[in-house]
Amino acid sequence: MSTEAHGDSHFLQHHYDTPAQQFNAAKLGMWLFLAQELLFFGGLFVAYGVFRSWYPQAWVVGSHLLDYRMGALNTAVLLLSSFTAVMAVRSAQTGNQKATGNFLLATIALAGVFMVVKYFEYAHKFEVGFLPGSHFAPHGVGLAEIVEAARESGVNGVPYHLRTFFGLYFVMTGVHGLHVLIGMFVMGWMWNRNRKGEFSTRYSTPVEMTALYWHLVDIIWIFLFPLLYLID
Amino acid sequence: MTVEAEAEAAIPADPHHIPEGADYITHEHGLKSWLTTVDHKRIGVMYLISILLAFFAGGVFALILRTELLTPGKTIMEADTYNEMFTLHGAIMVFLFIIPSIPAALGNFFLPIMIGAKDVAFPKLNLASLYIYWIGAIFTLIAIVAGHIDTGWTFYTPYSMRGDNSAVWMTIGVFILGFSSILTGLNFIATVHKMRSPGMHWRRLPLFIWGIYATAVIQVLATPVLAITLLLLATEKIVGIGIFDPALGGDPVLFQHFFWFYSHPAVYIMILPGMAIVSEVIACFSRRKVFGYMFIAMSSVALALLGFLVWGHHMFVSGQSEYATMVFSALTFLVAIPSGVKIFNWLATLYQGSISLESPMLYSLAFIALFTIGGLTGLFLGTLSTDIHLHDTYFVVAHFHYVMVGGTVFGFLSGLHYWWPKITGRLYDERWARVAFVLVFIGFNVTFFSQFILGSRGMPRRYYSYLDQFQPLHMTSSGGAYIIGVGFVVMAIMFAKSLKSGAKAGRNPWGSAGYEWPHPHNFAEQPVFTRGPYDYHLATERELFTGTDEEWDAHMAKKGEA
Amino acid sequence: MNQFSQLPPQMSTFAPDVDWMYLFLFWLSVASFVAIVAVMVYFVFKYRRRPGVEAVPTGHGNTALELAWTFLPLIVLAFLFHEGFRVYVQESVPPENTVDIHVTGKQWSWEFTHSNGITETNEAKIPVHTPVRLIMSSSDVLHSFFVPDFRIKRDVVPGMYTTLWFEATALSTPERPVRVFCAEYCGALQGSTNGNDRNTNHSTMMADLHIIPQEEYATFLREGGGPPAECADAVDVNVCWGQYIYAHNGCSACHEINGEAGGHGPNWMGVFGEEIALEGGGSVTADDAYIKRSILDPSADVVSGFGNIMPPYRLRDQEIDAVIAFMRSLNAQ
Repeated sequence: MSTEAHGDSHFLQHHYDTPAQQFNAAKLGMWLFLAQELLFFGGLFVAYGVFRSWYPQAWVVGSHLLDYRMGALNTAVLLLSSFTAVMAVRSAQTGNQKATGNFLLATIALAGVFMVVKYFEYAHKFEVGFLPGSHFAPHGVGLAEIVEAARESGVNGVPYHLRTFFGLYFVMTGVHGLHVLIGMFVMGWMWNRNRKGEFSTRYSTPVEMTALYWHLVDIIWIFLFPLLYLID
Repeated sequence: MTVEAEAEAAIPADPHHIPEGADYITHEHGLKSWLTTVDHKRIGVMYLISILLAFFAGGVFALILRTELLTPGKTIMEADTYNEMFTLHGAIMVFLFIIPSIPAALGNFFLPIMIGAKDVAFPKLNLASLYIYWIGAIFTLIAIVAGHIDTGWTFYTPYSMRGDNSAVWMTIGVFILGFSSILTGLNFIATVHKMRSPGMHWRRLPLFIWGIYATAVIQVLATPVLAITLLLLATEKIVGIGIFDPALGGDPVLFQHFFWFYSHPAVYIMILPGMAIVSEVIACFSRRKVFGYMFIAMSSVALALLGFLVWGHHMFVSGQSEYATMVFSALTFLVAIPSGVKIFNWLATLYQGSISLESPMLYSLAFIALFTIGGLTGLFLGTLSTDIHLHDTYFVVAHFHYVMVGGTVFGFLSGLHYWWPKITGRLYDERWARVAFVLVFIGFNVTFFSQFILGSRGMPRRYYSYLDQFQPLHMTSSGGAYIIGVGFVVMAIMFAKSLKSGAKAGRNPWGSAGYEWPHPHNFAEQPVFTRGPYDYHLATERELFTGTDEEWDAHMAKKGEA
Repeated sequence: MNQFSQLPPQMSTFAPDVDWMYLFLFWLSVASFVAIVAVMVYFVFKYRRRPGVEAVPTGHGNTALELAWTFLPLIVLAFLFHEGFRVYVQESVPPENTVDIHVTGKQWSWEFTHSNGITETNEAKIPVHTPVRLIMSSSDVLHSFFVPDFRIKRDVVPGMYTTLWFEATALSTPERPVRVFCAEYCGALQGSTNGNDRNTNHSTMMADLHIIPQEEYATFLREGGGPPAECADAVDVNVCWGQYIYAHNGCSACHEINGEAGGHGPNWMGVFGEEIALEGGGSVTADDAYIKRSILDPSADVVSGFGNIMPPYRLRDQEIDAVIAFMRSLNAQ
């Protein structure tokens, strides 16, 4: 009994009056953070839109060069991880410490799967020379792939700005991937705090905020996937 | 365990509880106690010291520039060194001084106190923001030491694609500084929304808070766009992704759109807090609630929103489409409305007031005059036909210095003088403060008014050399810069003397009805506000008493006798 | 130029319109500023703090007054926008039948190519009373073509064309040509320069426009350009012309002609006809063919000890011959 009270007393920081005030402030802060994240990625989406409208051929061929099956697999993986993140929050709110830990681990594992798939995608592109901008130098299999993709999309020759497409592809997926890695790290931290019993039915704000962040990472991918892989 | 005991246990000890007789500066000692503090006041003071150092560095660069411009051709340095100097002057003043100046230093100190909160919403994040600022500053230092950074603070491509990698260091430094700014803004918004004490409803919010709040919104929504722009720029420079460099199929005009989408709102990040301070100071030294309170508050919000829609007016001659130019020109004129509203309301506040002219008030009145010039010359630049002639000339340089120095820096100095006794607990020598004011005010006008004429006559900016016919005006401008320099030296000595041997300040040396004054440092208990921050007729005699506590006791004793 | 005038001389058809707007804004600003400061000073004096006189509480404000000063300025602002935009549209839409000149900005000089294919560097002949359209691009970084006397300005961007047009209203004199400035920062030559040297950095990236009679320009288009007028009486016209090109096309920024060491490029004195070592090994005789190649394609054979920093110059054969004649004459000294 006394240990439980002790565990609770730590969470209310001195400058807040009530746990509700503290929770609301944290939630507002997190939403503001997500808003700035959206604007951060917004710049990339604008650049994507501008260049797409200038060099549509490069964009069509580019999207044919990405493996939509891998993209779809990653989309499914991230959607599932959002579900496990929600379940982690739910478990934390209901005070199920063990389940919280397991769901957090599951989310981390799924994020890991996403990164492994991404690794194989990147590795292939590096191998065949689909490098960004000035390093763009397709050879061997890469050239054959471009010819095939150009034929499929009815474009003559190799569009010069394919290099810009891959420039943006690597920046957009790279920055997103960095967010996934940060998410994995934060969830690992949450897992550790959960293990130490810091969360309870009365206090699970950090888990909830982490999940909010994770949903944002998920949603950004939901936009990246069709824009880069699917749209002709 | 009983409910009461549990509730008691739930209230932890206040980590920066200040014992009786001590203050936030003296209750803990040692460098470590400062570097690990989460107290918003100490963080504000550390920001204050940091930005003043940056201001000093930027000022030295300014004096070097003005010295070089004493003669056409070489005076003391080569052209490429000169280019480096104006880049550093601009970048340091904008990113390390003006943007964090009022919000991060004075805002941190006063925002929680003025709304009756014990601290900002996220104190640890607040400390982290300061560390991020320092890390960003270190990166800019590396850029200075490691290479030759001569891109101008705007980093325009493709020029910034050339040269050594110091531009990358600088870009990363500014990227990091941006996150400091974002996190501070986020913290302030959450604080204003969630931490206000009972009675502190939105219509009672001090105008300083309204200004900082509007600023914070821009910080959170505009800065990330700068961050991604700089990230793309650095990637372009290192890898060559072909976005901004025309040699790789990129578009330099796109970079300008990206850059100004942040950097125009950033102008309002700089000026809104200055206006916010002027509103506080004018009310205090007129002993009167600000006229048209809601109009001033809402004009800050309007400026914040309009600020997002006018970035294209930096690009009237850049090659953007004529339609874009037309729309941006029209929207730009709208900015004049909320700016004018503020000026008219400040004037109306003076009407029927009880006005005294101590140094903070002098700076605020100077703000009104100088900002008026800055705003009116903005009309020349918003009007398309005249802008074509004046764009990228000294006219623009003079215009934005009237707004950024005559506006923001004068606002900052007004606030620094106004709140100095609250921050340091000491009074300063008013006579020397006025001497410094006169020097800075005169020097400023001499420096920059001559630049309006230079610009109108066709003298382009960022010029190392110039035609002989411009020399008299350039020499005048440089002379003014030296006067400003002397003014700041006088001010620095005046403040240093105050720290060393200034008289102990009372709780409320200006007799303000503002919430930040009557209590030593933060409120001891959560307050319940029953009057507005400018309701002089409702404030008690104790609240408005300007002397020290001892003098108050003497005053009451004397009253008792009578 | 009038010592006290705020604006440069009016040399184009746009200038009077722009100046009218400028002066309107100027007097509007003076009136507004004086009014605001006068009210401020009056209130500060009238309501100065005096013992026994309290401030009058503000009350609830005055909505009518607030609305008035919010919306009345809109009328003035709408007028300003309209007038500015009207002139801007004129400046943006060139008339039919313009004389076209291609302009290339490069660090730190301007090249003008006329319709007869002749390229002038850092100076250009412009017909008076004729709409002239400039079609501009940059070969390196951003520049901005700024002619204060014409009140025109437009960025010059690599990878795209921008245009400007104007009509000059008066002839220029050789003593005071119409000056072109670069208004977009574009850097400087690294290291030591004489600050005043033309075409060594952003601030000296200048060109002179010579406004000439229409007939003279027509003759120029038909017959091409010969040596400048000042060389008419020279002993050797070609040497004089070569020296003129040396001084006006930016050669002098890097190449000394005094035989002393220093400078960013090889010294011209005593170089013609000599065997010179090349960067990266080998050597070459500095004959006519080599000089011509070095002007048109400077990166081909760089002289040992110098960087490859010179941009290509599009000189005509006669001009190259003149430069060579000038270099030769330096050997004789």
